[in-house]
Amino acid sequence: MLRLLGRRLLHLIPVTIGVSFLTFMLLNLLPGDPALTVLGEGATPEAVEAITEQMGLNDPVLLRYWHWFVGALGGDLGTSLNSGESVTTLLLQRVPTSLEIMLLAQIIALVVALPVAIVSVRRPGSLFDRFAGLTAFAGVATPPFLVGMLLVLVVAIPFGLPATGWIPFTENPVMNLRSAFLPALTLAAALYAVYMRVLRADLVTQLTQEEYVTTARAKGVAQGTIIRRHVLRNSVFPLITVIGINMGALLGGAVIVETLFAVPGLGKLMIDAIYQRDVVVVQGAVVVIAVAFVLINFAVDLLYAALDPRIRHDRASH
Amino acid sequence: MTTTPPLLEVENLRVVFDGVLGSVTAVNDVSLSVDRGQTIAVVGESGSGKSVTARTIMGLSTPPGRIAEGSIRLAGRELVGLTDRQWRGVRGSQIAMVFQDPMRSLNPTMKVGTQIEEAIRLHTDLSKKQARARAVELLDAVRIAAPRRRVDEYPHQLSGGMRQRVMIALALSCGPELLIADEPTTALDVTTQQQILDLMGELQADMGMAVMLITHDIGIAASYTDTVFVMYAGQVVESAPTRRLFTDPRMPYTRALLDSIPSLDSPAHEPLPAIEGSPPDLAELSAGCSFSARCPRATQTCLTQRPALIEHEAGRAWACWHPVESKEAS
Repeated sequence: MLRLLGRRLLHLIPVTIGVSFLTFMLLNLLPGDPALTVLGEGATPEAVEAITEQMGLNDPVLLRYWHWFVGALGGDLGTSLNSGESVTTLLLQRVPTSLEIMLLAQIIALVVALPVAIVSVRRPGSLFDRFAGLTAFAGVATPPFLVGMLLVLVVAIPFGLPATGWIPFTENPVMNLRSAFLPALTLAAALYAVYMRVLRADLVTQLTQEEYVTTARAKGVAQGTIIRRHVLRNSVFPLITVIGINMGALLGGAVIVETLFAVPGLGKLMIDAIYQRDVVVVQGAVVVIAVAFVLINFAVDLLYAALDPRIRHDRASH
Repeated sequence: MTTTPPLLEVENLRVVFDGVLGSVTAVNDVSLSVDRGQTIAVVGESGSGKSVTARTIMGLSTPPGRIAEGSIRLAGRELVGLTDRQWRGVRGSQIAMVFQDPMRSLNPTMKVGTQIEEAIRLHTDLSKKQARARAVELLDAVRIAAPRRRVDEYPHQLSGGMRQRVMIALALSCGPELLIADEPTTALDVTTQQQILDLMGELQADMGMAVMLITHDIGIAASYTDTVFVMYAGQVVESAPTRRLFTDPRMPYTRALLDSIPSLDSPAHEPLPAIEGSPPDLAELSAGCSFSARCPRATQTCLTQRPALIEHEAGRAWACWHPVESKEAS
């Protein structure tokens, strides 16, 4: 088990190199001259030539990648073509915002999905179960930008919540949570749908097919207790996997929601940088997302090991 | 004769599974009884209804299965029609069950001790600590070495035989009057089978409970039980004290079953006498005897009229128009 986890961490190396190399090459193919991005249209050819030389843009692309890579190893992801700010600093400012919304979305989705799934399987096919299924289908079928706008209409306006803008946590925690609520709720709608369906499906499978459930019934345990005490702890595993996958997807997928609600997160940073041809920033953001993806999967594996006695003891015996 | 009523009395039990294409009668007019402390076997091939009967007695039949008719009385109390809450008071406390596959019948994410303690805490007033002490005692009683350590282990850390011992400990935890063992040794290797059955026999003698052993293994039924009920296509076709059933079977199906057991006396390289054909489709039972299509003694009567299970001699019943001649009579 430890060896497996070690191998997972080793994955970081090829993934990071692969992703950063591919983005570097693709961004290199983008039309437009980075020197022009820095100087703006209408710069004199001499100035363009000077800045091109200064930025090392005349070097072969592989050499430029190598320079970037060496810098990245030291934590320096380059400077923004637009603002001249350090990309590392920019990312460090933006990542916590995205993380906050993402975690909040996960919590909202789970807090709703767990009880709904549990109540649904008590009576499969009941009115509640069918209604819950309907909400789930609505959740996956409605695109986030539409969910977001609907939420502005039915939640933000009646309850006086801010529909756009962002107040940092350090500035005012309460206002921060208020501004994070709508974007998180928007993301949570789709997450809830997936979690509810996955959990409900696994609970049903376990309840109807697993013999330990019959044993529990033969002991005289009530159905509700069987679900909560016996089945749920076996059904969390597929759920954890799906949570992990969505965590990674959310990092990059928050683009729409962050744009919609004007939240200065990683997604917003990336989309703005793409519009402005700020390739250095895009490069940095993509690498951070890729690394986070691997780390989150690593965390999921650790969680499995902590929760599943079969894996836990396997590790001890190695 | 004895006047004490039997511990378990099943009368005219009919269990029906409703499906889209019609219903299937899995258990058809089954009657059987178990006295206190007695061991009975219910034998039959796959699909004969023996497991459904057992689960129905435990109140574990779930939709689409339902009791269409009949009564199940435990110590005089009618169980058919109990509410879910009342059933939970019976299950695990008065009737307990051991299942076929010990690899699957324990919760893989729960310590074995916790699984035993749960049953104890449900049916007794013991504290958490007392329940745990009782769990250790029970593990010791089923001959699990180092029970103090084993209570804190998970099922995957135990062998198949040990898991079945845990299942037995679990079943016995609240001192049931009746233990139903549904193919308890089928998933185990032969030496472990013997140990488990011996253990069950000893514990039964100690605790004075009755055992209903569901098995397809006639050899096991012969060695461990007092009375045998033979099931075929959802019906009991013959019942008799074990010894007499084996020495003097009357129902042709029982006879054919016994003939198909290989014996050391039979010559080598000779094909075993097998029963021709296969059991009938329970969804399309004919009006006649369900064994008639495969029976060498079948006549026109057998094809059109179902023989009832009738007690022809004291303690012996069979459902057959043309029973095999008794060896004892001649």
